[in-house]
Amino acid sequence: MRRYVSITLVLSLLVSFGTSCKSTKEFANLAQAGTTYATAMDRLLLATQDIEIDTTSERLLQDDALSNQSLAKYQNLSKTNEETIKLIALLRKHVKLLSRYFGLLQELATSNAPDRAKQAIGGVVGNLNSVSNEIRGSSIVPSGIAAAAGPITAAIISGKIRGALKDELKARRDTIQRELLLQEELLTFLSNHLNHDVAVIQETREQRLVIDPLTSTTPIANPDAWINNRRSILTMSLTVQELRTASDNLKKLREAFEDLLSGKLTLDRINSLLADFDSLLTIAEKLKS
Amino acid sequence: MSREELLSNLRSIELRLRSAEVQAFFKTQSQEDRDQLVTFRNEISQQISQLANAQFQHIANQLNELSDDLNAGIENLQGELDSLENTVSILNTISNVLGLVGRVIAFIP
Repeated sequence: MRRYVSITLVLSLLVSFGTSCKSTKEFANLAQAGTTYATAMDRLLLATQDIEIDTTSERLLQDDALSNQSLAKYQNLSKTNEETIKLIALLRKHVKLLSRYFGLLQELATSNAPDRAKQAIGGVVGNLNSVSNEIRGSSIVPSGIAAAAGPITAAIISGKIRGALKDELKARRDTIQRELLLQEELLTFLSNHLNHDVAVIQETREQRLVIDPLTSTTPIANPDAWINNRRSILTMSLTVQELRTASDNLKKLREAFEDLLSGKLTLDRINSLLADFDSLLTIAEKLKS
Repeated sequence: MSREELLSNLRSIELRLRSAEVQAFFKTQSQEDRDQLVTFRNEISQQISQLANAQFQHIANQLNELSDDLNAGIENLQGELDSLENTVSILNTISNVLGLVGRVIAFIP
């Protein structure tokens, strides 16, 4: 009777641990959304740096077409580029820290330690019984308990992981909220900044590479290059426009972290966020190239 | 006027000053007028870049304030991962030791 009760208790524990195991997947997927965002932001910052430098170059060329540029005029604009490069390096350093944090969160949430511990405890029980058989001629661990030891160990380790994840997010709750709010602010600012820089590049480059060659008395030397230039210039702003909605995704990520702690988050919501951040990564890579 | 509003206004002005129509018009003007336009445009472009840098700095400063707590989180998570590895490693060691003991005992007549 006692053996029947204890095995039933073990099985009930296993069922309850098993059904709550899905929340580790939610942690893992949310952490992955964070890591994808951090990667996208890093690419976006690099793209911003390059586009900023090119914008200044186009401004200088456009001005030089009307009035010969002086060293002072060049340095006025070039110095601000140098400052931008330093600031972007600082921002990228912080984003790497954020990426490391989300990466470790994901690593913990997807750890295969429960399975490895299950196998290891199986080995312990098996070898214990071998030694016992050699000494006493019988197994020291009854077969029922031997069979349950692995799954119980795995469930205990899974529970430990889940507890650690919840404790960590509770401890870092305010920091994550503030971080994501600031990232939202940064993304909105970058979106407006890039929108303007690209508009300046489009305007000045169209004059330099499309309008001036076309209106010049000399025929265009390389018509195919002229066509390619015109196409790439006119379509430049399309990618930047897609950034405008990206900051909404950060708001959703913030809300998702809050809801994860209160148990209101669903896998569908996280998977939708994952898709949104994958799109942001694609936009950032297009801008960088 | 906020910094964002000032930046937005300056950006609008710059786009108009750098338009193809303005450029084409000033190509027909005196060198003195062209020099003045270029000086003005250079000034506006510089102001835009400086305001943008100020905003970058502002955000970077605020993010920097969160670095210590993020680092604490990183240390905590790494500690949890190390602790898990230790647990599995200890279980494996016990299993290996017992395995060796079993083999030794089997040899004892």
